[in-house]
Amino acid sequence: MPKLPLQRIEELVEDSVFHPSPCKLHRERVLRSAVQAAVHQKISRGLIAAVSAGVVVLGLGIVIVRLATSSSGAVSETAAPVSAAAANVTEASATPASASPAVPAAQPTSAGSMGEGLYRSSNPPDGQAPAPEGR
Amino acid sequence: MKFFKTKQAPASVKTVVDIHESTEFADRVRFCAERLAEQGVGALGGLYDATASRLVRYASTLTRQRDDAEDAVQAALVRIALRPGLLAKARYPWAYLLKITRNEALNIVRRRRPMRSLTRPDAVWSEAPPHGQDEIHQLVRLALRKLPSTQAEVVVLKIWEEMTFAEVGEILGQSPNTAASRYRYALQKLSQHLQSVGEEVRHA
Repeated sequence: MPKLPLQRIEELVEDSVFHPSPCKLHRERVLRSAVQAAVHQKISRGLIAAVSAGVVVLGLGIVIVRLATSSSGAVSETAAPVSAAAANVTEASATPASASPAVPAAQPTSAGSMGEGLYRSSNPPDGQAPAPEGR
Repeated sequence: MKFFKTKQAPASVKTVVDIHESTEFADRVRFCAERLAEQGVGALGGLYDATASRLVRYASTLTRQRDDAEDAVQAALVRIALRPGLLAKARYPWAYLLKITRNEALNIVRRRRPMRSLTRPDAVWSEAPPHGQDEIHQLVRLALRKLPSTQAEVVVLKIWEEMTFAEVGEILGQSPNTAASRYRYALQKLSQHLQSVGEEVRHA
């Protein structure tokens, strides 16, 4: 028997085409599931947007609070030596002068920077030798 | 090795990479895809009506089961409905849709293979054609069904979907020349099979 030429095979396959009709409920099922998937996608996108917005707001809040607390901390640090000096002044005025003449804290200090306080404590004005450093 | 020992095909068989020619059906799919991108999920019905039959036919080449093919088509269309812009912007929307359906069908085949080996294949390909019953056509469809799915899908895409080898290669993720080789080899196998069937019928 002669072999079928390939062109004839092509024609046979072309003629034997068929068009299956999907089952009746398939269309409804596809459309329903597509709508559901679209709704789920919208909801999940909304949730993601809300959560990310919340995270951004929370982060901003944390940054603002931290900035506020750090600035107030700096103010209290500068105010702290002043109040300590004022306390020393009141203590010195309350105690008699013979109690402790060599106490440097008894000397009234003007409000100044912390560096000035350190300088004064290391260089007493009465000609006393500074405290030995280290050994 | 057998693959490389095939005889040279006659000149009548198209084995060269041909240039894409937009068919009427492809234009219709593009129109449906653009409408889907504009109007959203509500316009999916038009795309379904235009393509479902062909998609089920192609998917059944891979799944060999009608319900699996329908599931693959459903999954593909749902994916398209979620991101309709991809289909509308695709170079060949019909080829892109076929590719998505192919991926879904292969996923289903991979997932359900152990279960399906216990059941008998259903008769989606042996359905009677709407215009008259023809025994030869039935035999051709059965012969096509017996081909490996990698070869059968090339024949289906090339002849039934009237695609070029460039489009077939794009869908299958192969070079057009590979698609052409598979097509030629599939036709030779079909020829052998139909010849043996014809001899059996003659002896009977």
